[in-house]
Amino acid sequence: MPPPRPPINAKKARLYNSRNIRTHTTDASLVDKDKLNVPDFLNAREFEIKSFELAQLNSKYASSNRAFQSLPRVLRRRAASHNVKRIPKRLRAKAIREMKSSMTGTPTVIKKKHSRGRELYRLTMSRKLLNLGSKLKLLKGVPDKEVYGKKLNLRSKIKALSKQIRALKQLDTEVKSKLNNIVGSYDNTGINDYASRPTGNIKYYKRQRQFVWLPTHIWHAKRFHMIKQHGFQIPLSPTQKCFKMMSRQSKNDSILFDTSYYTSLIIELENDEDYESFLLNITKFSKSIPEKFLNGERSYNDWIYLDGQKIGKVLIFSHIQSHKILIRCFPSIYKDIFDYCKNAISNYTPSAIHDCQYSLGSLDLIGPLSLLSLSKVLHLVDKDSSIKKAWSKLSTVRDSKAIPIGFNISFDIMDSRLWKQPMKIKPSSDTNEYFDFVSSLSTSKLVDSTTIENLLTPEGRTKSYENQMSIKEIDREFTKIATRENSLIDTDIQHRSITPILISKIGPSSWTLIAPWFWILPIWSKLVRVSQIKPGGIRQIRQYNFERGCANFPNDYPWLRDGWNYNEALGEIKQKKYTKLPKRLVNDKRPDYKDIDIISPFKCDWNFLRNITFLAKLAGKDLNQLEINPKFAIYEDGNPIRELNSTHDLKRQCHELKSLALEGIRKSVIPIEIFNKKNEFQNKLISGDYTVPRASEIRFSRLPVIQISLELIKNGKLHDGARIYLSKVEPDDDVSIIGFVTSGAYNINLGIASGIGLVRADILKDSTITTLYVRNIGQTSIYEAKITTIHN
Amino acid sequence: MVRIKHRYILFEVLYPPSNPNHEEFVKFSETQEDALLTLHQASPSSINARLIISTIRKSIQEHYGEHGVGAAGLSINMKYWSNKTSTGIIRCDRESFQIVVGAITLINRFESNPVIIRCTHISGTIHKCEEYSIRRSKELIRLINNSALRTKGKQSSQFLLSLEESTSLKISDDDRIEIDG
Repeated sequence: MPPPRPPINAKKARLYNSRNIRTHTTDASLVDKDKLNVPDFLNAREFEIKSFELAQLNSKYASSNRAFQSLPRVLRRRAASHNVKRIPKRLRAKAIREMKSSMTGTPTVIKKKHSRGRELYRLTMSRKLLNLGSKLKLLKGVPDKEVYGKKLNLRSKIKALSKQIRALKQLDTEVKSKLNNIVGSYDNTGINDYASRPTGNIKYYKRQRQFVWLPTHIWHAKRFHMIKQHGFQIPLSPTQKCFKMMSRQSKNDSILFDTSYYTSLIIELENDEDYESFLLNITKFSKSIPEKFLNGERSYNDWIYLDGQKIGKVLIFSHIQSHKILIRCFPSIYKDIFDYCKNAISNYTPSAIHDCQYSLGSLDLIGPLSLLSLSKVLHLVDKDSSIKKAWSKLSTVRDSKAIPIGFNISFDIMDSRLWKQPMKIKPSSDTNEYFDFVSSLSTSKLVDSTTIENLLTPEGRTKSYENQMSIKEIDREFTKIATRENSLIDTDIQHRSITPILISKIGPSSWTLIAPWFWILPIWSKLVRVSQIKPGGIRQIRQYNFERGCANFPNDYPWLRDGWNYNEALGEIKQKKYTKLPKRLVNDKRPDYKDIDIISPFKCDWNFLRNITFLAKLAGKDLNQLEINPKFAIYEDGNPIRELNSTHDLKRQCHELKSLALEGIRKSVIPIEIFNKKNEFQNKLISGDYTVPRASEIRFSRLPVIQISLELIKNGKLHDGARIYLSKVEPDDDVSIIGFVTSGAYNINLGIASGIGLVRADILKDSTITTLYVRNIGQTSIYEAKITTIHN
Repeated sequence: MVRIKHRYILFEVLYPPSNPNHEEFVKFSETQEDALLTLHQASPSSINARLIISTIRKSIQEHYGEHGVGAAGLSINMKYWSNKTSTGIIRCDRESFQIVVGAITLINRFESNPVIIRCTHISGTIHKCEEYSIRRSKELIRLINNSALRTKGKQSSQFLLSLEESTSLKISDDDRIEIDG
């Protein structure tokens, strides 16, 4: 077929040219089957390569391309076509040109309305207030409490601030400034009591009244969905779609989280025996505490026991040389722990407890390249020490199993903002050195005592904030040096800040970095520029745990108070939604649930499970011995409680118990309890020795359960609240439920649905069971799943 | 809106020594450079895009019958063919690309020249085929260079070095791909 005639139009010609790849013309003089000599051969190949590359370039620019279309998917914004501000600065000129030439585009310069009258007055006054606030900050002062309160109106606030500024300016020796820096960083620790709420910038104070902002809040607010929980505004998830991307990142690179909402407290106990006995009280250790844990070489990442009860998993770092214990936990259990510790140490003297909720912040990293990314941004003060050498070797270790969980390292770092770009540490190519280092990890002591002292005391933290440079100052210094230079370290800046930090391994591939509150933002701002790091939110932590078959706090722990409340709340929300739906959607979205008053279809109904189990014990009969469809109920003479002869009887009695539970004098307990070998009552229950005295006592008993991780064998779906059975049963058989799935979904790591659930301990105690059956709420298909127990 | 998807097949025509003459075989197996140059010869000018397509169609009919021709034969299109380097890119339907590849490999000769047609890369976009071909050419050049340096001595190696500098072809480790020696 002869080549098509090229079109005349320039645009079409461009398109045609792009589709045509030029080839080296064949020489008529070329003899058949002539073996090319080397230079001819190379020339021919080289020409081909060039023509391919040219063709690619042509095709790229052949189709008409608007400015925002040439951006990668993650940088594109909706409605970028007519709102020029949503396009990155480098493409803005082109976009403006396009806008001008197009007929439908709105003009880029939208004239702002000029406010008048009262509105104008209000705006000028609030601007004045902010100006005064920044002036005060420059004078190293902290605004008075009344400025933040509601009682004063705008005018009085301005007056109060001006007064304060005048007082500071007069350089009275009595009026000492509270701050030692101009950026407004201070140490907000509560000594022997709760810390007061941080006030933050005057501009943002009103928004922080109920929920405290994390140090990196503003960065997150621009890029993340935020949620308000536990008194903090916590980043939930990035605004862009990132499910698969985060799954890949956690396996190949690393994900970064700002976990400053994890609250911490510090306990000081001078006496060594008191120290150890206190630790024995709250940790799982019963006889003696391991030496490494006391020294600070390893930290404790396990359950905390308050009055012998497991409350939640915490991080405990103890450093006996400085007589301090740091406990870091999830904010929902903080109050219990703080109150308990305060009472416990009141017996010991001398002792003190510091509430460091708002004075210690932390960053979490997960993934194999976490330490490598950290090493690019953290620059140690002491360059020649053994810790520095260990750190540079540690950052090259990518095998997550080489370093034990609980491993600690701590050192002082310089201000990360003194370096423009992340800097690579050169790895040593000696493999022997690597193996020597890994084997020496178990014996080396990498925790610097002075650093820990500075990190865990209010005085040490305040000292680290001294003369902290603001971004303006740093930029000013950078303009003085040559543009090629990467760091300010060789110049003579007035002050070099030293920050104490502690890095600890808290999971198979997760690390946490603990630093003073106002140093988190400088480290964060440099860390997010490392290419191997992507910031994430709570949803990504949950996704990471779920994909590895680990339980998530709080929803997978319904036997703890927080997990119970969480699940109950979710169930209530679903129920309200269900009742609100109109009747016309009955078949699709509002299915007619059977037995809705006996077993709730909106959540994992643990009450039902407990009631059924104990009622069966009360009846003294095995579940399969009961009749299924009786003709009538039997009541013993005079006894208002019916005899339990059939499953129907069981269910009706369950219903009665449910209504009883609502009107009891004694508060009903959480119906389930995690299986503990040492618990006598549980052992009796499981072995069958225990007999239920009365039906009304059932609502104060707790059913022991074991946590399992499920994986479907064949294709199927698994959702939250799915019912677990021992064998394949009819879908409407509720009595043979042995457990529920607390979180279930499709697992992208396994390629099949998986989940975490809880099952009755008496059935699962003999570990020969490897498969169970699950059925989702409202569905009839039953799937087989293989299980593994999770030890808690 | 349904998108019709294609497959782009990158192939090259190799000329094995077939002369009953013993000498040619000896020369062929002397050095790596000789072998490569013999195999990757320039094609005679009688072989053009149209001839290749018709040969492929014949091959499909022979091995896959009428059904094969109906399914795959009509949608074959030659996007690029170079005589000097004996490489080309063919476009075909996504469902029938395996028939096409099979038929191509079963071609024995092009009008009295014994040939081996080798499919080196299949991809959904022509862009990736081009990229692969670029990497492959670079690797071939590197192999020939090394072989020439080892055997021919300083003269031709100097020419090769100057050629490399002038073309500014950077052969990095990432571009390495396996090529038969």
